[in-house]
Amino acid sequence: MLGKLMKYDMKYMARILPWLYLGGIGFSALVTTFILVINNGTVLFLGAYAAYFLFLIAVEGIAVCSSIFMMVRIYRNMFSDEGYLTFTLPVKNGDVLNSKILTGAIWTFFSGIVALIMIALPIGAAIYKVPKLLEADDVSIGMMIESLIQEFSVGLAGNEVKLIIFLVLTVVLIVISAFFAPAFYSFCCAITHKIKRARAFASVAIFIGVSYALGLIISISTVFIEIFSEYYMYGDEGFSAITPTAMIYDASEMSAYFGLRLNIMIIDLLVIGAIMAVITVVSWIVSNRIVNKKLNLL
Amino acid sequence: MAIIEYRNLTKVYKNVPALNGVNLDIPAGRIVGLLGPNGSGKTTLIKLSVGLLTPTAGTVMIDGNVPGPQTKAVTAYLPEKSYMSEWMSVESIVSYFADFYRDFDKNKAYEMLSRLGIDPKRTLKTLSKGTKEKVQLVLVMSRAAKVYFLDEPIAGVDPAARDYILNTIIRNYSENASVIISTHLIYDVENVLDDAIFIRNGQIVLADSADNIRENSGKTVDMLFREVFRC
Amino acid sequence: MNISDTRPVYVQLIDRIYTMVLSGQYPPGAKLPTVREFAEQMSANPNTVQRALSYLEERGLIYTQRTTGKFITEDVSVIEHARESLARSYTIEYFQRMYMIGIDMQKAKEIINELEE
Repeated sequence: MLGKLMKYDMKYMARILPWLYLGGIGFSALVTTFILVINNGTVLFLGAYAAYFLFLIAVEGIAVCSSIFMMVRIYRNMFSDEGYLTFTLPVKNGDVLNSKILTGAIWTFFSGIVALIMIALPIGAAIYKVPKLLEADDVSIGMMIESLIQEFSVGLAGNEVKLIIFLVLTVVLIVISAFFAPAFYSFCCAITHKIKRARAFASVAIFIGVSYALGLIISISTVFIEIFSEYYMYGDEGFSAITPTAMIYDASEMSAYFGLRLNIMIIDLLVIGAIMAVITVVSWIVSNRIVNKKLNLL
Repeated sequence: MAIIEYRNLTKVYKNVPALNGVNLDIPAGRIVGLLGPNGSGKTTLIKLSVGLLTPTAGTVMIDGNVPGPQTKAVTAYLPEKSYMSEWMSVESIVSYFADFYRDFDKNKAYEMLSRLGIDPKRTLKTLSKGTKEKVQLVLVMSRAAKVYFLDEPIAGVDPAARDYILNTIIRNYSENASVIISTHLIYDVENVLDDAIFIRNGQIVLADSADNIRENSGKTVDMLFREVFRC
Repeated sequence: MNISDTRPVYVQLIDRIYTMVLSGQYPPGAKLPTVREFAEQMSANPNTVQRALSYLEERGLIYTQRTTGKFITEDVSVIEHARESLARSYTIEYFQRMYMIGIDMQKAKEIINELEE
């Protein structure tokens, strides 16, 4: 029966999200074409700058819309009047919940992939454009991009293992965060479902409040991790170790610097991942319990 | 074994008992009226029976099982309010029911819809309140369930539709199934009832067959109700 | 079904069925609808209809043929007897009502004669 429930939940999300994705990728294609076609370096630079901000809005917009849509589905289908139908279906109450969380995660994942495509297209175009720009007289942009590429290839040498760990953890974090929103929001709904009035408001308020607090905690902890690890690695002189890469000329120093950066990022990912994983799992378990044993739909 | 068994069923909200120690057996093949004023506990009793509420104490058993996927498969519930997604079309919610309930008869549903003049392609959002109620009724009556819980099925509906609803209940009658109709419009349903249950302040005040009530009191169930529940 | 009739529903159904038989709607030997169809026609509970039909079967007005259904008796004497009984009780009722408004049997008969003209 879980499969059946998921079929309908997926169908609901498929009413709008694919259109958003289409719009997003279309916009990205537009920007990519712009990059490929324009040869004037200054125009390209200004255009890229503007596109960058629009991009953030677009990607953020798709993320927010998917989240909102998913939250609406979770609340409406389980805890509004529709719940009277959903929870009298011949299925385990827990399956209803699990279907929502799984479909929410799947669509969040899709949104992530779309965002990646949206970003990859113009960046790919930019990389492709570099030699062309060097050929033309706009040396500055081409050189900038080329030096960046060079810097990265030098720095990452010798740090391959760390890079792999970093990428794997990133993927793991992406997966966890895909489950985080639907699981945690379901939890917020489940703990407020006995309230008679402003139930939806309460669940959303708790969700946003906690998410925001979480964001703050994560930001602060990343800063602390940064400071701490620099201190740990370099002692009192730690802060002097944070040098902009432009001042590093030695390849081994560059490699060490990249290694340090990767260490810090890996620790960040572990901390964030752990926090989110714990919240996700606890939310899932508690919501399941409430919905299976203590359902009181008013 | 009765098809519905209530044993000391209690539901308390914030120190107020909405249901207080209900003990009742309902055999199969009966059309039962759950009669009481607003706030007497009718809806609470029904919601506990279909699994939307958890008891504070006591039990309810449908066909020998506690409310769960097994009982829900053989229980048909018609709530007072609309519980359908507004964005769905009539035919898509018919398919939805058919998909989840093995005892759902699609042909019967479409036949009833056409008799009521409801276009299956319409979205639920575009239908009037009365039409939506009819759609819900069709969905419930197209099921071959063992227990039907109808919460105020005729309250918000015009007299012609009321007759249609009551005739549908009669037509659907099976000696293996029971229908529980909760209502405060007693004289409309009286002739259809096998048994009448009077409920007040969460407690059963009277439970007897309609015929017995008439023979013993010399009054119609409606008259007796007015007497018992006089303000 | 009369809303203010306080007699049990099955009793009222028995009345209605007698009327239908005596008025010729269901003549002797006529096949009756199934319990379910009857219930639907009368807007009454099938169990109640069954109870009424059982009563009438005991009285001999109806008989059941196992595979074909229920039929009105072909014995005309049973029907005539019922007609006579019902006529009597209606008449008694009529005179009781007349008496309640102060008209004795004599005066009642005069009114009947007048109406006949």
